[in-house]
Amino acid sequence: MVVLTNYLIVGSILFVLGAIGFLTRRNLITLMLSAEMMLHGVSLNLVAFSNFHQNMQGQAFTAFILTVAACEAGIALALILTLYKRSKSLDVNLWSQLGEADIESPHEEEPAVPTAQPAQVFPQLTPTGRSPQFQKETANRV
Amino acid sequence: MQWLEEHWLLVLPMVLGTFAVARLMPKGEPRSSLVARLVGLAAIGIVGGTLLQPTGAALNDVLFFLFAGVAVLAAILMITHRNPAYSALWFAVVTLAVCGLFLLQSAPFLASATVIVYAGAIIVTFLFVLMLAQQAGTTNYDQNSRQPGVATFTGFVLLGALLFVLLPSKEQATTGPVTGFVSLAPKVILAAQSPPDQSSTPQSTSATTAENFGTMRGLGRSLFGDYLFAVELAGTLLLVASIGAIVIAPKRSSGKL
Repeated sequence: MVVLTNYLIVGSILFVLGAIGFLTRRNLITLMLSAEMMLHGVSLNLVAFSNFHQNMQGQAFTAFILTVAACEAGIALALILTLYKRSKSLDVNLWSQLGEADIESPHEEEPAVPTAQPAQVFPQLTPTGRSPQFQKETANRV
Repeated sequence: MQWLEEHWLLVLPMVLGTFAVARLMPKGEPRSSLVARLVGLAAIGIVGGTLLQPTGAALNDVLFFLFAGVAVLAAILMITHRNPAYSALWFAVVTLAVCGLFLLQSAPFLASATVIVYAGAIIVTFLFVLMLAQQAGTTNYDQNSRQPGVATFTGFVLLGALLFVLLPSKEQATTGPVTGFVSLAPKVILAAQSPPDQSSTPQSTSATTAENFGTMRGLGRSLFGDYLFAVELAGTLLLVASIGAIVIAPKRSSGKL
């Protein structure tokens, strides 16, 4: 009893986090990953119910979910490559013209973030003591 | 008010989680998010400490809390990370943790199959596509998520509703037989309440009974006995999907990516 509830809770948390990621992120690949995480939540539910009822139906359904997820990933990646070829970007907002023309776009204007990577800062050793001066001495000696 | 007093243990982690996830979502310049991380950890801790109940078997409990905690943490990191490559790697961690949970639920074949299919094939393909298509440096669309506050609020309202349904309320816990969406009563009570009716599950044959449960033999008998046509259909679906992917993917003759 308790075990079933625990697993259902974890499954629903995974599902909801995947849904939030799908709604908010704008990278096409992150969208796909979030959808796969929603599938994980559902499979966890099915496996927990399978164990609860002590029969294999839930596990069989999870096997089918695996199949469909593999198909989905293959086709989605082909589509993502095609879309990237057209727009040179993975931004999903570029493909929002599919909606009705008289409804305004829900995207707010965002401040442009500098596209360059922040310069990487390497640690530097602090010099200790004064630097030795060999040059003059050797020059004088010779 | 009284409802809130009874269910504050359910409402509090939802509020904290909404704040943490919405704050961790990328929006504009990178900012320090120590408070959001601590709040998120607190929400996970409240859920893990109060809503999840240990079963008493020590090893099972330790493994369950380990895998569940890793899965939820990695999931949050996955949906909030600014770099999609790191998101893919965190998704691999989520997959491994979920496979651990599968193992605990006596589904060893599904655990290994999920590791092979997800972590082995899908993640690698995603990373390849990232290498092909990701622009150099950070991009604008990775740094700005789309309305994170509203979406996170909606998601956590859904989660709160789900948990509210899943958790047995006080009256049900005290007054015995449970009815409703999921009858969460132990099997003994269910069996005493209504004798098991074999004809109600026409799909299950003798091969899928309890002694074969959790073995590959049982799963194979179930897949290729009860669901034979569905397996054939799934194979056809794979074939169609692979042909479709080949057709959709950009050709080399039509220019470089």
